[in-house]
Amino acid sequence: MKYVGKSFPIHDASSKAAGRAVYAGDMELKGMLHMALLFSSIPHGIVKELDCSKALEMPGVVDVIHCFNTIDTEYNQYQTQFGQDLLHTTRAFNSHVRYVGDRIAAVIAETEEIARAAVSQIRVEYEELPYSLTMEDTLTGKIDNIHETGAVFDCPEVKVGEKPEGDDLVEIHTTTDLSRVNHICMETHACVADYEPFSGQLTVWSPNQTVYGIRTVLGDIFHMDYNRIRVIKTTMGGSFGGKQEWVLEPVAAAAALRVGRPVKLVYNRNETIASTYSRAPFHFDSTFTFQKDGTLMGIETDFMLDAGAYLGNSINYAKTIPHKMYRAYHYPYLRVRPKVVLTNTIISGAFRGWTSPEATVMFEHNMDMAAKKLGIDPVDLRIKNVMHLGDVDPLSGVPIGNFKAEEALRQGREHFNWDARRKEVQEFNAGNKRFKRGVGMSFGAHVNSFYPSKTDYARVDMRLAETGSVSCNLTLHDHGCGTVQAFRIIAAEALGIPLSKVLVGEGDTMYTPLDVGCFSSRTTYVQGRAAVECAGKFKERLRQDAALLSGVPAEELVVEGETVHSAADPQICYTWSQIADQAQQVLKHEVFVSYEYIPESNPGVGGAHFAMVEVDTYTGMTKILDYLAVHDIGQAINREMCVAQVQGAVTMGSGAALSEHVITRANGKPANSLKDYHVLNSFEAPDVKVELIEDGGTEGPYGAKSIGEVCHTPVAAAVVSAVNHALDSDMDSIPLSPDVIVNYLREREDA
Amino acid sequence: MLSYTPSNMEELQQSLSCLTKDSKLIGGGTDLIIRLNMGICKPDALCYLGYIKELKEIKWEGDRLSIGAYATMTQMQNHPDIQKYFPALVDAASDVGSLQIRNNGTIGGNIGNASPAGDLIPVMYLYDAMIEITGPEGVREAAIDQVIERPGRTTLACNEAITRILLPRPSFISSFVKLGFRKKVTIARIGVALGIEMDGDYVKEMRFVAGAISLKPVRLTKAEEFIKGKALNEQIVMDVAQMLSDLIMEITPKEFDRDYKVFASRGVVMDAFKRLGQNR
Amino acid sequence: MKLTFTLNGRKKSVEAEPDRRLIDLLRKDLHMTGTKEGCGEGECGACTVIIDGEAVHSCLVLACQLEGKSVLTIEGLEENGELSRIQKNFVEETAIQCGYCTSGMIMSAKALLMHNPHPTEEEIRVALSGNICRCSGYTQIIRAVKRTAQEGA
Repeated sequence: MKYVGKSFPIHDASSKAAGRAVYAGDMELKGMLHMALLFSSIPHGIVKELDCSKALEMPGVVDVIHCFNTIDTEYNQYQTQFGQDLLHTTRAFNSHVRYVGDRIAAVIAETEEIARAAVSQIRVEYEELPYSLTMEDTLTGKIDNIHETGAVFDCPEVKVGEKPEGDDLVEIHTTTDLSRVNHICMETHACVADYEPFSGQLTVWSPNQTVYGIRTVLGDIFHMDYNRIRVIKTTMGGSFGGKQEWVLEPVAAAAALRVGRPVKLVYNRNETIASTYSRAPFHFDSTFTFQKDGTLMGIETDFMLDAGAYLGNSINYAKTIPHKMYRAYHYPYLRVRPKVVLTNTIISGAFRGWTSPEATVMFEHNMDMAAKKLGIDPVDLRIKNVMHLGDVDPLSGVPIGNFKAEEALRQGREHFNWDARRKEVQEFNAGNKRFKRGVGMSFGAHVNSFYPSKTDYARVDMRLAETGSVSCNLTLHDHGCGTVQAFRIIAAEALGIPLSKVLVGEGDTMYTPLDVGCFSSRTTYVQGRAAVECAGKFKERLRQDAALLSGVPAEELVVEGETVHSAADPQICYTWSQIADQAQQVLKHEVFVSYEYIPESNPGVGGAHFAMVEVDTYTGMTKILDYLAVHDIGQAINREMCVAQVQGAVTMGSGAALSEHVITRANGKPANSLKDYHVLNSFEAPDVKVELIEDGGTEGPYGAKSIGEVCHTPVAAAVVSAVNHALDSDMDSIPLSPDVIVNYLREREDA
Repeated sequence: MLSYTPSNMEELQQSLSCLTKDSKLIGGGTDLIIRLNMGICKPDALCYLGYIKELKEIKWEGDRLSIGAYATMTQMQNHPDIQKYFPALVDAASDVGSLQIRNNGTIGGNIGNASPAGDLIPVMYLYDAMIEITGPEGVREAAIDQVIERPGRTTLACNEAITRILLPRPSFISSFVKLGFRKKVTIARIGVALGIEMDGDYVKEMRFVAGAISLKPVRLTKAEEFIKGKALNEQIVMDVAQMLSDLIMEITPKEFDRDYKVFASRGVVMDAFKRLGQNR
Repeated sequence: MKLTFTLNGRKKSVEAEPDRRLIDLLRKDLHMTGTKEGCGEGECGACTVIIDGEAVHSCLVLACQLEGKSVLTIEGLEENGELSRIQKNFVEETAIQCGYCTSGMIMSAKALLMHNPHPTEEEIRVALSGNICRCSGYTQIIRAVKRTAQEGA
C-alpha cells in the first residue's frame, strides 16, 4: 500500500507549528462581545436574590443573563440524539444550585476583562441546603431533594448465565475505588455563538465531538427549528471525552440570542476543571470465581458511580460497564448491579474509553489477586481466559472476530522479558531496603463503533474538481489526534491518487451529512470504511462517465492512477481533470457520489500492557522505569500517530494510576488548579515502547480497528499491577499517590 | 492603576515613598500576577524593581555574598560563587517550579511572599541570611527570621522593599532537598536545608532547617545537638530523620498532610545527606 | 502607560495598562493568537515566549515589566514565509497533535537550544518539564528537539 500504514504529520500540523491554526478562543468576529460566568460558591442551595445592578452600570457591560431572566428549559448536557431517553435536570442557569461551579448568571460585555470584573459585582443571596460530597453520605438520604427525580438510581441488574457452584471453586473478592479525574485538554473550553435576529439564524462554533448533537440540544432548549441552527466544529485542542457534552454551547447561544451579536465564551483552567465535567469516582465490590486451574467461571460486581450534581451521561455510563466486561474474556456467568449516586460535586461525564479503563482496573486487579492466590503466572491466567476468533460476546451476541488477545499477551511477555524481569526485581528488592521494583501487566479491550447497541452509519460524499482533486464531504471531528489525516490516507489509498489531491473538511451542520458524532472509537472503523466504499463507487462513476464520453463500454475501461483508459487501446485515455470538465460540459453533471455505510460488526480490539516501576517506600513516590504496549490494531492507518497516541494514553493513564485526582475540599470547593492536579510531565513520562499486531481481517478500512480509546484502557491497570507487585500489596484505591502508598505502608508497618 | 518603574536606587526610594498599604512590589511576578489575574489581589499601584541594575547583581562584599533581590533563580543556579559556596541555594533555586518560572522568579520575590512552601526561605535560615531593606528614608538590615512574620506576610512596611540578600561565607557544606507531589515542577511538602561542618570523621556542627512543615522554617535543634561529635552513618541519619518525624508530629497541623510528612521525612532526610555528599 | 519593546525583531510602541498581562497584550491587543493560554498560573507552559533570550510564561509577565525588552513569539519564527528548522522538525517528527501546547513547546525548545545547542535527553526533559502535552508521551517532541540540535539550528 502506498499510504496506509506509513507515517504522516496530521493535516494541520504546519499551521499549528506556525501558530496560525485558529481555535475557538482565537476567533474574532465583527461586533463580537465577550462573556464571563458567575458560578455558585456554595455546594447546595437556592438563589434567593440576585442583584446585578452594579454590574449593569459598569461601562462596557451590555447585559446580564441569569437564572431568573433566561430560558429555563431543562435539558441533559449529554444528549446527542433527537428524542433520546434521558433525564433532563439542568438548565442554562440554575437557581437551585447543586455544586460549587453551578452556573447562575453571565455578564455580556465589550471585553472579557469587563465581563469578569462585572461578574464580581453581582450580589447573590443564597439559602443554603445540606450537602453531600460522597456517595456514602448521599445514601443516608441527606440530599434526596437534589432533583425531583431523586439522588440515587439503581440501574437494572445485568445477568448472564447461572452462578457457578462446586467445591473446587476459588472466590476472589476485591474492592476498587477510582477517583475523579479530569481530561486536562490543553485547550480549555471555548465557544463562540452568533445570532442574526432577522434571518433567525443561530451559528455556533466550538471544539466538539458532534455538531449534530449540539444542534439537537440547542434546538430543543431554545425551541428552534434544527435547520435554523448551524454548528461548526473548530480546531480542537484535545478532548479525551471532555468535549462531547454541551457545557458552554447552550450558555453562549443564550447570550447570542439575547443580544443578537456574536458572543465569545472562554473558560479558564480553573473554570474548566470545576464547571465542565470529570470522570466519575467509582466504587466496585467484586467477586470473581475461578476453577483451580485458573479458568474464570463467573463474576459478580456491585458498583456505585458518583454522578456529581447533575445526571449527564452517568446512568448510561454505568449501564455500559457490563458490556465492557465482555470485550476481552469469556466466562459463563456475569451479574452486575450498577448504582448511580448524585452528590454536590463536579458533574461526571465521558472520559476516553467510556468505562473500558474503569472496568479494566477493577477486572485486572482481581485477576492479579487471583493469579497470586492460585499460584498462576498473571500472563498465563489472562491467556487462559481471553477470547479468540469464533467467540461471541454473550451480551451483544456479536462475534468477537479476528481478536489477537493471546498473541498480544505472548508477544508482550517475550519482548518485555516478563519472566526474567519478574525474577530480577525480586533479587533487587531483596537487596534494597528503600526502593522496591515491580513488574506488572494488564489486558484491556474496547469497541470499534456503536454497533449493535445504537444506530451507527456514516455517509461520505466525494466530488471531483476540474483540477483533478477530490473533495470529501463527511462529518468528521478531529480531536487533534489526526482523524482528518487518517481519513485522507484511507481515501487516497482507495482512490489511488496522491494524498495532496484529497481534501477533507470537518463537521458543519449546514453542509456536512447527518452523523452520530465522533464517539465510541467509530471514526476510523465506520467512517473510514465508508470512505473505502465511497471511493470504489467514485471510481465506478468515473468509468461510467468516461464510457459515455468515449463511447467505449464501461467494462473495457480501467481506472488507474489519475486516468481512466481503455484496456485495449491506451490512446483512449481521460485524465480525471478532463472527466470533471467534460462531465459538466457534455454530460451536464458534476462528478459526485454519495455512499452510506452501515456497519455490521464490532470485533474485539485490545492491548496487552507491561510496566516496570520503582517505588520509593520512604516517600511513596513511584517512577515508571519501562513500559511496553502491544496492540491488536488490525492495520495501522497513520503509523507514527498510532504510536504517539498509545504513548500519550500511557502517560495519561499513568497519571490516573499514580497522581491525578480532583480533590473536593470539605466545604465543597474543588482543588481546581494545575498546582493541585498533577499530570505527568516530560521529566516523569515513561519511555513507552509500542508494538502493533497487524493482520487485518476486519471489516474496517484495510482491516483496521480502533486505537485512540483502547490504548488508554489497560494503562492504569498495568501500572497498579506493577506497584502492587513491587510492594507485594493489594492496594486498590486509585490513584496510588504517594499518600495512598504511604498510608498503606504505615498500616502494614503498624500491623 | 499606578505603576512605578524606578531605574536606580534613588528613584526606588522616591517610588517607595508613594506606596500605600494596598500597593504591591513586583519582581518576577510569578506569584503576584496569578493573584492579580484571579482578582484576589487588587493593588492601587505596582512598583517594579526589574529595571534597577544593582538589584540583579551578585558579588562579594567582604566576607558576604550580596545577591540583588531581583536575581532570578536561573541566575543564581548558574553563578559560580553560589555554586561553590552556597550549594544548598543552587539546589533550591534549581528545584523551583519550571524553567520558565526560574527564569522569571526572583529571590526577593520568594522571600517577600513568605510562603511556608517557599523553597529559598529555609535556605536563607540555613545561611543566616541578612536581608537589606530599603525604605524612603534609607537602608537597614534584618535577619531573615525578623523578616518572615507568618504565611504570606513579612515584617516590612508598605513602603519598604527587599533590595539585597547578604549571605556570610559559610564554613559548612550544605544541601537542600524538597519533597513535592512529583519530581519536577512541584510545590514543597517538606524542604530540608542541611549544613554540616566536619572535624575529621566527626560532625563538628550541623544546621538543619525544615521548611513547609510549619508557618515558618524550623530549626531541628534536637538533632543538631544530638549529632555533634558523632561519625556519619546510616543509623545516625535515620535517627535524625526520626527526630524530624517527631517534630512534624508535634507541630504540623493534621490538615497539612501531617501523617504523610511524618512518614516521608526519612526519605527527605536521607536524600539531603546524600546530596550533601555530592555537594562536598 | 506607553510601552516600547521589541516584538519579533521589530520595535513596538503600545498603550497599555501597567498590569496588562503580556499574553493579553499579544492575543487581544495585537491579535497575535499563536501564543495560547492553558492555565494562567505558570503550570502548563502553553503561553511560553522568549524574553531577552529566556523562556518565560507570557501569562506571568506584565506590561510594566516589558519596557525595552525583546519578546519573541511563535509568530516570529517563520523565515521568509517558511517554517523555521525547529518548526519543520516538530511537523516532520509528528510531534504535533492537538497543537495547543505546540507554540509554547517550540518556544521552550528554542530557548533551550539557544543556551545549549547539544542538550542530552535528560536536559531536554528538564527544560520541557514545564510544558504539558496531553496528547503524546513526549517521545516525538523530544525527537524533534534532538533532531534540531543535530542539524545545528
